[in-house]
Amino acid sequence: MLGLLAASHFASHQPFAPDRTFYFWGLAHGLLLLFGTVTMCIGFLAGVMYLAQSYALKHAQAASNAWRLPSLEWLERLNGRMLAVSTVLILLGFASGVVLSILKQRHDSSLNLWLDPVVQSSAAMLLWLFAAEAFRMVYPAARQGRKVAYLTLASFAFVVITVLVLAFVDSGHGL
Amino acid sequence: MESSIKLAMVGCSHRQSSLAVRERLAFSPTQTADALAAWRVDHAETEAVLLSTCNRVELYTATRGDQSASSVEAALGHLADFHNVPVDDVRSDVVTLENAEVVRHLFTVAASLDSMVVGEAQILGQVKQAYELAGRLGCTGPLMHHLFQSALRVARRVASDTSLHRHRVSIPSVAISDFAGRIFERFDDKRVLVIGAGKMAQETLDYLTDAGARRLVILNRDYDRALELAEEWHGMPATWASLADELAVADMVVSTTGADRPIVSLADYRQHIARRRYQRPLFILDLAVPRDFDPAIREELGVYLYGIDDLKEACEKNRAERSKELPAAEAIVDEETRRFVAETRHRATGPVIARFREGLEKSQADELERLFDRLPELDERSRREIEQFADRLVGKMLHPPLASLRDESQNGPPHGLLEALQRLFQLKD
Repeated sequence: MLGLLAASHFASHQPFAPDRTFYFWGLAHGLLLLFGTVTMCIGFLAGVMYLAQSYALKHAQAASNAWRLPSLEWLERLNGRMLAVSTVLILLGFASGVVLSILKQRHDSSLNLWLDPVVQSSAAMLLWLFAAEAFRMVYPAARQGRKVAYLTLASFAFVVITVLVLAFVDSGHGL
Repeated sequence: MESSIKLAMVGCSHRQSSLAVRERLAFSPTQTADALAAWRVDHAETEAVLLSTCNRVELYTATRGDQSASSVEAALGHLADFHNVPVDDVRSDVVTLENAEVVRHLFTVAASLDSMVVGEAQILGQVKQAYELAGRLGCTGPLMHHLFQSALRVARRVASDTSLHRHRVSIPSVAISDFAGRIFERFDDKRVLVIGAGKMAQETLDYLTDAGARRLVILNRDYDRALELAEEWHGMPATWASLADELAVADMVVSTTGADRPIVSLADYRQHIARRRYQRPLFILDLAVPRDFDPAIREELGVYLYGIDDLKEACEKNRAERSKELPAAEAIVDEETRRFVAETRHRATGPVIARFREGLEKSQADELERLFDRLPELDERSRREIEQFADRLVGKMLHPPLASLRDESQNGPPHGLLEALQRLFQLKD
């Protein structure tokens, strides 16, 4: 609340210029998706560590003195949190992208958001993330153990697909 | 070692035998008593102590006379027959030791140098209990008393003269720090189920509470015993009937019962426990021999099940870390073994020395009597002086041969000297 009050003090009283509106939503879209991807990467690493630690423990392998992985409990908690946080960030990033697209359509009615492969892959990823979160809420076993790690790994795979589409498919996304 | 005293040890341990073999030969406390009682009936002349722990089953025997080979075979047969196991099935997994090797082995075992976790304190208590049980059943005599009391003394000396025992390193402590510590971040919010209320359970509880565990549940077939232990550890007692319910809500399980078959089968786990856990991580430390949990349960999702043999790798690491202290401890065991063997050999010269002494003292008494008869005018003071002179003379005559016997005993049985003494002084049995 204090932060918002401080921000309002420095905020301009002038209405947004159209180009600044694009800039704002574009920045929000990019940053939110970037943070969402970073969060997912952390979750992915935690998931890989969880599976490695779980494998070592299942096979009664002694801990290494050189490097010791965190406990399963800690990794599971980190995994679950990263999955939830990345879902929210990617949702907000996707929503800001939709807003940006709507603003662009006002200037160019030929634009069709849902034909963009990046948007399609992002939508698929978001659907997966919602499904994963719903699965976690409904099915208690998915809130712990290896299932969280597997969900994180699958989510990370969707992020990778989206980034690859953005990088290698000539969709005109972001122009 | 003296030729008339024969020591033998027959048994198996974690060093050369698998858990499956040890399970076949393991003795519960009741079985140990039964086996010793049966031994006494069949071999009344041979002293025996049976040591049966999670990691070893060893039968120690001691007898006078040249019966070493037969006593080894008899001991092996006794171990196998008690469990209805054909001797040939286990012969390759069993170690047999004789005489000085037995002494060194027992000293090494009691000092916890042969334990899976080197330096653990529990084995000393187990050796002591085995010796005391054999004593109560009348299976021990002077040979075993000397051997086991020496072993207990050596163990205490190793503990005090080296830092091998500085930290607690029992099997439960290694299991909890190396395995449970990698599953759980903290223990204070975990529900810990301890099944069984024996010494191992108590040691585990000791370590768990030090690690922060607060929510303890003690489950035992004997509810009163569970209640007693629960009060001691500020935990909750549970009845045997609630085993499945407790397993369904536990985070950690430490099982140390003396049951002769698994108390939880795979089918039991799947049917009554797994479906209520939703794959929540479950750490199971099965320290019982035979195992309390069907090993197949470890394949279930969320289950991390460890038996005694699973702890081997961690224990080898522990052993490596303590290797710096091992030479000092082993040097003590070597020194004490040499001393024990020399003492035993020297003791064997006792009957000959006693006869030698008796012969000299009889001659002394006869000569004194003859002298006092011929000199009746001697007053009391002069008589005492002459008696003291005779005592000193006999003492000085005895000293060189006794010292030579003692010195000779350091290097081996002093058969030559004894024979010479017997012939020179015509000592007869």
